[in-house]
Amino acid sequence: MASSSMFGHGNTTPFWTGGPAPGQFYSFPGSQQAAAQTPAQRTLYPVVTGSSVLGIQFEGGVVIAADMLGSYGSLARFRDCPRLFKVNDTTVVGAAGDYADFQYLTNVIEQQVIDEECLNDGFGYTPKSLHCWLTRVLYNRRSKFNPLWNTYIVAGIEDQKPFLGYVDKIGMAYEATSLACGFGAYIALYQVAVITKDGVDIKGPIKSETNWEVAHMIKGYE
Amino acid sequence: MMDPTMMSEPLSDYKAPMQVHFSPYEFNGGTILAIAGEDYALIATDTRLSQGFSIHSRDSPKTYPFFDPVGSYEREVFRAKGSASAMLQPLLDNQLGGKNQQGYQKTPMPLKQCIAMVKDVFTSAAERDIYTGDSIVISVVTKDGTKSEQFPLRKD
Repeated sequence: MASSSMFGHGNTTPFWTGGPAPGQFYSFPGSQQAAAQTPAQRTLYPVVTGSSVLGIQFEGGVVIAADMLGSYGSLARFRDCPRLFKVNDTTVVGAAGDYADFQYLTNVIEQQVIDEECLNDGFGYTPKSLHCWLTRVLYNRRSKFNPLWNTYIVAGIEDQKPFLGYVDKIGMAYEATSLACGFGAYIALYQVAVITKDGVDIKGPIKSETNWEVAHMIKGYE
Repeated sequence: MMDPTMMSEPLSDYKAPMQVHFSPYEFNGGTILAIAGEDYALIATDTRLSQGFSIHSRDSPKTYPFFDPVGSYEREVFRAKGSASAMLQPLLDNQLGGKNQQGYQKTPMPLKQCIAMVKDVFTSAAERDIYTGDSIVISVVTKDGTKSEQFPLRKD
């Protein structure tokens, strides 16, 4: 009897007024309530980003280049992020935009290449087929409002002819003899991949030399 | 009472990157024009693919060799659509529809004259519309089949 009144049973005054409720500041792991309140996580803005990819066709091949800067907003956060991915001896993919999304898709493609290899039927990704597949993946993701925040440039050789294709995060795609995306992050390392009938040769990292002699003449951006 | 979220607010210098909202749509420009003559039908598009102030491709035609009607449709004799449609349509209204002409007598336009007019209206549109340019592909359908020709426009 004495203990029930002591711990607030039937008492109108709460034990601790104005304070936080238990669990107000901390979500216990596995709590159903916390999971229900958290909305689905999606890439709604890029975090670590890459910028420029350049692709040019020449007689008998394609050259594709990308700098290696991984930016975090305006901060040059990572300086050695390779953004060219060799799919096979005829195909290279370059990516701009969110670096994590690029790594995710790289892993998916790597697994697809392995699955394809296991069939041992002599077929594999060609630049055209990979470009076509990318347009479907990116368009499908944008339709679910869950985009992969990237622009991809696919370079390669198919039927002895150079191929260059572009796909962006909404699935807009086209082919051209020369392509570029993003802004040039000129003060960075870059890689160059040359795809000819003899295979893929990724050069670099190559250091780009900069010249700031004219910097003192630029006014108005202080 | 102090807002408990205040404690996790980052210093203003170390805020996360600015949020860019995702839009699943982009405006890529481009203009199309179709005319039905007496013994021909004609469809013309420019070949520019743009986004904002940048040109993605100068050689991306918007015509494809099949005509399945999908959605709502209405039979018309001439129609311009796309980014420069408001520049093309009035001229077609005047030249093909005889609008604002006194004592106009309707005569069908021969194919040769029609193609020349299509080239003229697109050349004019490319002067003012930044989303129209590079070149046009004109496809002419007659009883003998389909023929296409390309005609250059200004590239800036």
